[in-house]
Amino acid sequence: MKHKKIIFFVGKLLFPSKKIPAFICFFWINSQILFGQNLKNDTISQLQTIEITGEKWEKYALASKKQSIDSIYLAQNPTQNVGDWLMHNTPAYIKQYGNGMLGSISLRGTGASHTAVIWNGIPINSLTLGEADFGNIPLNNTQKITLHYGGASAWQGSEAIGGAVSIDQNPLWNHQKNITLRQTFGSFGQSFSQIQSNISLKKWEFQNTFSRNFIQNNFPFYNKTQQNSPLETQQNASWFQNSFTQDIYFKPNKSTLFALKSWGQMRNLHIQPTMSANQDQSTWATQKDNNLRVMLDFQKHFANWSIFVKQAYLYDYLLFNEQQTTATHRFVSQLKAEKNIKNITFQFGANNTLIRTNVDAYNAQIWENRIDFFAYFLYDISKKYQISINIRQNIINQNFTPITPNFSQQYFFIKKENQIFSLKNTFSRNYKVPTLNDRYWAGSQNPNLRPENAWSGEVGAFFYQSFPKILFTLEATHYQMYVQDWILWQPQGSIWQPQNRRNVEVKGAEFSFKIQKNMQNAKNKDLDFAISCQYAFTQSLNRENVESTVYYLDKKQLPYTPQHRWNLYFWIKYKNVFTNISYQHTGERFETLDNVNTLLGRLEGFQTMNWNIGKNFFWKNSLEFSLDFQIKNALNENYQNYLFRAMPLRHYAISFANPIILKILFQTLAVFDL
Amino acid sequence: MKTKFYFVAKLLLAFTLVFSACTKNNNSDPIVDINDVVVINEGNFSSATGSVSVYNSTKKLPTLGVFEVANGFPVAGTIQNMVTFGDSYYVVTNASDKVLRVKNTDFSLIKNFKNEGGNTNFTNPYSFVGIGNKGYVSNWGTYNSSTFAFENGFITVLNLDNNTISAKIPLNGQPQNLLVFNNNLYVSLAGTDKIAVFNTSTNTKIVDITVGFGADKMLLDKNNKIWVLCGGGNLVRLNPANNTAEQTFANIPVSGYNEKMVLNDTKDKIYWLTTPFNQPCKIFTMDITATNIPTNAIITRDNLYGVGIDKNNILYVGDSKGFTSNGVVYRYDAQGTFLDQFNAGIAPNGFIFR
Repeated sequence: MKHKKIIFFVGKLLFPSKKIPAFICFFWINSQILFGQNLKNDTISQLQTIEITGEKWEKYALASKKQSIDSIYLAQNPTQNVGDWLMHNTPAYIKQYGNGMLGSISLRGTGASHTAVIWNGIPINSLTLGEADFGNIPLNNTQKITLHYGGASAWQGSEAIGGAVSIDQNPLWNHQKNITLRQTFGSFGQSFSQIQSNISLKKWEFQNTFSRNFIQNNFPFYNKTQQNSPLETQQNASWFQNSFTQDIYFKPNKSTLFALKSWGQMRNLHIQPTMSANQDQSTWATQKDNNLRVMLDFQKHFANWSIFVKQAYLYDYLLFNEQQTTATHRFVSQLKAEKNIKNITFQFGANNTLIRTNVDAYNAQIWENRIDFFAYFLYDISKKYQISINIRQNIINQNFTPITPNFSQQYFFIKKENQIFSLKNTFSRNYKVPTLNDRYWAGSQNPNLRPENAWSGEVGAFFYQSFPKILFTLEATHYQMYVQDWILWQPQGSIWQPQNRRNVEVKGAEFSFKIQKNMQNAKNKDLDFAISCQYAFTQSLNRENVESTVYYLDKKQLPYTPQHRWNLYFWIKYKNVFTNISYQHTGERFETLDNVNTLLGRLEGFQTMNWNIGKNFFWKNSLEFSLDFQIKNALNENYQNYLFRAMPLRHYAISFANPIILKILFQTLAVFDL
Repeated sequence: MKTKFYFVAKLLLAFTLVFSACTKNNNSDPIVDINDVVVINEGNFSSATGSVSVYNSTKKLPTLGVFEVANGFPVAGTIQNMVTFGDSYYVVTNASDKVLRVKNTDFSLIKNFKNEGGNTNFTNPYSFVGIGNKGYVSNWGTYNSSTFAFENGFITVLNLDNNTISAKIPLNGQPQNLLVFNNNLYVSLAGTDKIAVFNTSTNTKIVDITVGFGADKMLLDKNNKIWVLCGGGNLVRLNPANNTAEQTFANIPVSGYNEKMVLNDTKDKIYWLTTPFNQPCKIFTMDITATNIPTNAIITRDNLYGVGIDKNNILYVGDSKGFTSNGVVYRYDAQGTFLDQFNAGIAPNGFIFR
């Protein structure tokens, strides 16, 4: 037991909060095995070689565009949240209510609750709001994040109208045992600490992360709501977030896998007020979030068929202003089977979600059962032509929601090792069921509310060419979507009530290219680089049948839906020195549906750029230390993402990974204990 | 497809020209000399987009955002009320809690009464009334999100000579509207059935008058009687001479909160707005001598949010457009016949006629 005491002490040093050592011990009991083992680290080069097995539905979405996070971006931005990544690396727009505050998504011109967030195959959007807060999903404890563009209701059910963001954890089976320690200090009192470990054995694998992120967030900003725009210090914006993930995998034989995945998180947030209320203490608010997600996953593979069983429990708790509780429990069971007959693969299954609420704003505790039946079918007609047909039916408390079919096809004009050219095409129906708030908010219930319904189609072209020195990828997509019965909360007398109010027509195009060094036959292995660029044009037009008045609202761009977004990401590495730049530009947004160009009505476009520069140091080969310096908002842009919410000007951070002193300490501990 | 695109492009261009022309207008003249109507636009709560616009009823020309143009920064609050007193307008906002005193000629800022120096001078302020060198501001108090009610309401007393905060008067119940008559201050207490009467010389309470649940909007008619509209559905005529209720009309259609009621220029006819659940909004009118409540509305329309009547008996009615776009003001004659409309800011909730 002696080592546990020491560990407790180390935990105390790193994390002074009282509640944490218990977590640490839990974490360390699994991790102690690594002491005395060869400590090898996941540096950038190793991260790239990680083999990741996708969730089982991805292959059926053969014509949908998808984009996974760059492993270098993930490794070098541990303090960022998923919203920051989406903003800087993808065409999705994140409406940020301040620095590290609520981040709500608009993907392909849709609303915040039109993008499903999927954790290891299970939707985790808030049941009460129907959306995810991308400011509350840290990048640091995830292994793989993928943005799926376009409707995905056939695979992911409700809310996947604009697309889906999936967060997946998988075993590595790389027979490595390593521990990574990270520490970041940043402007405005930011301190981020993390311990991450992976232990991959023959039949077992353990992956753990534990992190704490704190920021005072007292950044200076020009208060545009006051006379002469004085420079003020942001008040009431500090927050901290503790999170852990723990994944245990057991592979008794080659065809069987058991997994226990868990992700817990607590956040204590002071909600950044609008600029106008920065000195107005009586209007300030706080929010506490606790989330716990636990999943038991079982897979068994036979000669040409497989079964998958998942059992998960999700708990979301939110306490507003220390007064108002919003909590939901979800028990999810999923059973599916996949069979392969020659060139046909099909999958079918069911997903059951039992929901219980504890929400102050509802009249009663709600119990609800949702069951989904789904079937996917993939047919390789020839080596060059694939189609997939997918269908899903959801039943909520015995009521049928719209049936959601998806038809996808892909044709390869060229399919060679060094050259690929394909055309892709998909048609789908997608939907969103009214949220629990829409249906149960005391006094505002609307019994006539229908699910939101969307039809969409897209065509895409993909081109890949490997040149002797570089790899080149180009992708272009055009899509159209029609969303009916979009739910809006509207004043009905003195009461606000959700209504199926809006119809929206979305048309858009996305272009992306990537140039990467061809390392395979490069003579100089010391130098590596990649550059990628994306542009999205999004026309998301109101087709609500409104009375014609002095403002014409028909065919107007939805509020906070930029027409133009583009981004650029560049990294280069020479020996042990690396640098990367991520840049994004967001076009103008409107506060109101009339798109009137006034001081309050139009938000100017803005650009932000983050710049990292760092170096990995080696000592006796096995010990490594990496140092990374970050300049955030390097162009010192004075911008507002959301009207009157301040954002920081240029600021800085410095990160260390694997400090030698700590590693020596751990090795010493290992000598004593094991 | 292409022609459609060009049509839209042209339309957008035309709009841009129209609106840029609007905002550049009248910079040289004192803005209110030629604009006889001030429109109070509440704005969205979440982004505090309250604004003031004006309207020239002769040229039928609205001008948006006059506060921003005059001062170089926005109101930056949700405007609950804007009241004319002396040579100033008093703009009462929450989300940020403050009272902006502006010149009634050009909207330039005289004083921003706000929470500063660690003092909570306002907590969800709602309305203003002035008498002599004093200004009274009602404050709903703190919102309790578990009881869905406001707590610890109070009145802030302003010294209008030197623009300072002179006192705070604590109250039981959420103070809503204010009215001054005969040196007495009448405070309607929404959340209760009472009107509290204070002596303005001593700031002490004289009496509570029971009127009906949700005491809200008060007006003084030509006979020096006070009309009180209650969110619970009572319309009450008070006699301020003895501070008693003379007549009560019960179960009348109302909005339920933040009641909107106005008097015509001759102060013998009241107009009020009702916003029934799941039905279009309605505007009713009643003579101050009437003995029965009207059964038919003169105006019926969705999303109505504010009402006003000018000295020519033209009704101005604000449409919030469900807060999704900027609002619109419709004009009607006194019988409710539609005349015309003009554009306003977000959620026009009231009017000042000069």
